[in-house]
Formats: sequence, C-alpha cells, structure tokens
Amino acid sequence: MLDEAQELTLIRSVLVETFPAECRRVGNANLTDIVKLRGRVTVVPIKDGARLDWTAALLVLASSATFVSQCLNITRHIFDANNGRMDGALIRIEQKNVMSHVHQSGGNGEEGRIVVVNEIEVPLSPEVLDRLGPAVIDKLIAALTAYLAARHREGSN
Amino acid sequence: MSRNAFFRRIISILRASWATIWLFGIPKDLWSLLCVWPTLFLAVVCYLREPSSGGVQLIVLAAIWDVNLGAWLTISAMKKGRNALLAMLVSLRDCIYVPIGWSRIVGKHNVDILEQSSLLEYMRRLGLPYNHGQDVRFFRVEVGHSGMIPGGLGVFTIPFIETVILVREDVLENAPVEDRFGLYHELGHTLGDEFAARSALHKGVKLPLAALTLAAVAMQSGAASFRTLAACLLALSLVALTLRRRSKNSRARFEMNADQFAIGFLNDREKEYVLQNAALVLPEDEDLSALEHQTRVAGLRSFIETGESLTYTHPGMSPWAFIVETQLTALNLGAWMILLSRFIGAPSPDLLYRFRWLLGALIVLSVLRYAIHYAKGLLIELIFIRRVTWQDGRFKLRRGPSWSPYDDAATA
Repeated sequence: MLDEAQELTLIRSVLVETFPAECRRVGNANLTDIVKLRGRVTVVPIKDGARLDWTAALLVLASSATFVSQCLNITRHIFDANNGRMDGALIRIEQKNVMSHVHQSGGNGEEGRIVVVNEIEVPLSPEVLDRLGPAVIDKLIAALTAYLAARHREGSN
Repeated sequence: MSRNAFFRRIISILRASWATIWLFGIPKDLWSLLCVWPTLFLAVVCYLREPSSGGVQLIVLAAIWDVNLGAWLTISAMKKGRNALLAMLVSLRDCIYVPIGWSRIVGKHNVDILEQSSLLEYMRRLGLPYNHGQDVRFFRVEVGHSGMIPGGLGVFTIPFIETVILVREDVLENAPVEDRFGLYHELGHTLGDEFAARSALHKGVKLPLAALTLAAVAMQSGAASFRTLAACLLALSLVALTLRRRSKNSRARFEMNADQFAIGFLNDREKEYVLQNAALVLPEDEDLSALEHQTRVAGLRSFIETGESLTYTHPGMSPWAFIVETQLTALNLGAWMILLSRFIGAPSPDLLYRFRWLLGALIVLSVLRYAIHYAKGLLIELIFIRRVTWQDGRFKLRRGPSWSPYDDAATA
C-alpha cells in the first residue's frame, strides 16, 4: 500500500500535525532522523554545557514516531484485508503504567471477512506517557487514519 | 588531521598556557597578590620580619606550593568543560562529527560583530593573541547506527584552550529562530570576557585559606596568635561573602550581554519575532531570580527597540566601588596576615630537606594531573577525526588511512 518513502512522509506529517511546537523546536535534522529510524533513537541529555535543551521534545517525538510506525503496520493489515476500507475497523487504546496498548480489529467488510485482532505494546517512559495522554494518542491515530483515507480516495479517483 | 592543523593546535595550546599563566598566575594588584601568592606573601613577610637562611628556604617552598596549588585550581576550572565534552562523546558513541566552517554559522555581513566581542577586545587590550576562527569549532553531529541523538545544543568551553559547539544542522539553513538565537547566545558567552571573572570566582578564597591553614600549623601556640588567626579567617570570610555576592549579581549581566550579542545576528523579521515572543525565546534560568529573569526579558525587548544596552547604560559597579569592594577587603586581610607572620618565626635551616618528599609528591601529582587533562584532550581529537571509533561494543583505535575533516571544514 505504501512504499518506504511514503511511509516516512506519513510518519513525518503525522508528527508535524500532532506536535507542531515540538517539531519546530527540535529542527529538521532531529525530526528526519527520528522518522528515518522510526523512533528507535536514544536521546542523550547534555547535562553540562547545554543551554538549549530539546530533550523533552525529542523524547515525545521519538516515542510518538515508534507508536505511529507500529500503528501503521497494523492499520495496513486492516486496510489490506478490507480492500482499502476502514469500515468497522476499531482502534482502541488503553494506557497502563508504562505501556500503551493498542487493540485493532477489523469489522465486517463487504465480503463479510473478519480481520484478525492485533495488539501492540509500546513501552513508554512515565514522563512521556504523561505527555502522550489518551487525547494526544487519539489525535495521532486520527491524523494517521485521515491521511490513509485521503490517500486511498486519491488512489480511487 | 593534516600536519599544519596539528601544529596549529600545538601552538594554540602553548599560547593558551601562556595566556592562562599571564592572566591567573601573575598578580596585578593587592588582592591578586593575596589570592594568587598567599603563602609566598606570608613567607616574605616572615623573612622581612626575621631574616634567616631558613626564611629564604621558606620563600622557595611557599613559591613552589603556590605555583602547584594555582595550577591545580586552574586545571580544575578547565577540566569541567573538557570532562563534560568527553562524557558527551562517549555517550553519543558512534555518532559522526562533521566540522562546520564559520561561514556556515555566521553570514559574511555579520563577521564584524565577532570582532567587537568583549573577549576579543579584552585580549587585544592585554596584548594576548586570540583567534576565534581556530579556537571555536563547530561540529554537526550525525546520528550513528545505535541511534544516539544529543538532547540539545552542546557548548563546551575550555578556557583559553578551545570551545567545541555540537549542533545538529547548519543554523543558516531553515533553523528556527529559537535555535539560531540560542546558538548565538552561547557564542556570546564564549566570546565574552566573563571567563576571567568566572575563573577568578571559581578559585575564590581557596588559596588564601590553604595558606592560613599552613600558618596555623606553623605558628606558636598562644592566645594572641589564635586571636590573630581568627581575625584573618574572619577577614577571609568577608572576602568570600563579597565574591559570592558578586558572582550572583554578575550572572544576570552575563546573560543579558550574551542576549544582546545574539540579537546582532538576527534579521529584522527574526528580531520582530523575538520582540513579540521574548518571554518564550528566553528559557527560565534556575540561577536567576524571577525579578532578574523579568529584567532580562525587558532588557532584550528594550535592546531590540532602542538599540541601547541596559547593562552598559547602568553599570553595576563604579570604579571606586570596585576598589572598595576588592582592594579594601584585601588590605584588611593582608594587614592581619602581616600580623600573623609575627607568630610564625624563623624556620629551621633544613626546611627544604625536611619537606622534600611532600614537595616531590606535590610536583609529581600536579604534572600527572596536567598530563591526564591533556590526554583527555588528545582522546577527544582522536574521536573527532575518527581514529578512535565505537566497535563491537567499545571504543577502539581504528587502523587504516586518516580521515581529515579539518581541511574540508576550511573550504566550507
């Protein structure tokens, strides 16, 4: 459905839309690396010698990029199974102590198929979990699905 | 590293050593004499009071002691920046450091601002050499396989030796105003004359305190001698309090000077943005009080609107106040130390012989510490030129052809 370049563009655009202030704060190079590595970056705080601190913004973006990337994988399965439709697809997010669980199940499509339920667990540090509250995660997912739906419409047209 | 670049760094280290000795090792007023050479001062007074061959040996011993302790404290002031840089490079492990030329940081039309920096003016005034083009280096940090990213702008200043600034991208290309302002602000600190005040404040009263401790061991016991020693310590405490107050007050002024330096590099649109968002652009500084932070924000706005500096138009201290605050306290302490010398008396003629082991150990330790300090500097250079790289979970010396980024940077 999406090639790698499109996937990177998608993750980037979702991050920019959901966290405009953080993206502006950390600059292009940091954002590009976070997206390229799908969030698998480790932020090294500069304790001495730093006056301009991006650590908090980087942590949120890196965690969000991992989250979006994993959600994308599952959403892609649902899209594929439903021939590009999100009808009945359910995305439910639960937050526990230091984990964010995303359950996704495809509903009945035109052909009445049932998509296998998937679950991902994204380990998040408590401070990031505070920042990535349910509202922010909903916004991330909404931005993700809106983008996918828009692309699908473009493809259909 | 090319041969020229290597020699340039050797020369810069020698030059830095000379500048450090000149600034911090040679007294220029009474307070400097008491702060830099306190033991020697006490030994000379003892000798003048009661000349003897042991007194001459005491002067030699005191001079060696002061030189060693002074060097020790100077390295302490320097090592903070170097240790922080090395710790950062170790934490970032397999990142790649690409040197960025000054032209990528400062546009051609802004070069004049650098020449007007207070550090360059200060060094010119003293007749000491300083080349910011060589002594302030920028590196762009490129993420490695392990995905380490520095959590901010890294500015590591090693007084007189060099400043290393780690950035993530060229600031002239699409960098947000906050980042550009932040970088130039730090450059303002680096190219400001505040390092001299900071280094002096770092030393504080450690040397005179050490001298008084030695005097306490050497003096004759008695009520009068202890009263004099107590008076010395009281005078020293007053000096320490004065220095502490000056250090606290100077912080806000240094920050405001750096802010004003940074504004010079921004274009009109960016200045307007900073004017409208000064409270957001200037982060809260835990070392500043709420009032000082508000003054800083107001000072920045005022500077953008009027071009006038609050720190220059309202200097914190008049020359007379400065003399009263520094030399008067030094005079007070000096007078008590002269009185204290009365209770020390003439040392024995074999003083140097008796202290030979302590003296030897002191010199060896100082040299060792100096060597460790510069070995760390060498390791940092090797990491920058990728001679030492992160392999198989640890740092290793890499074999093969040299990679010399400095020549590339010079042409950038």
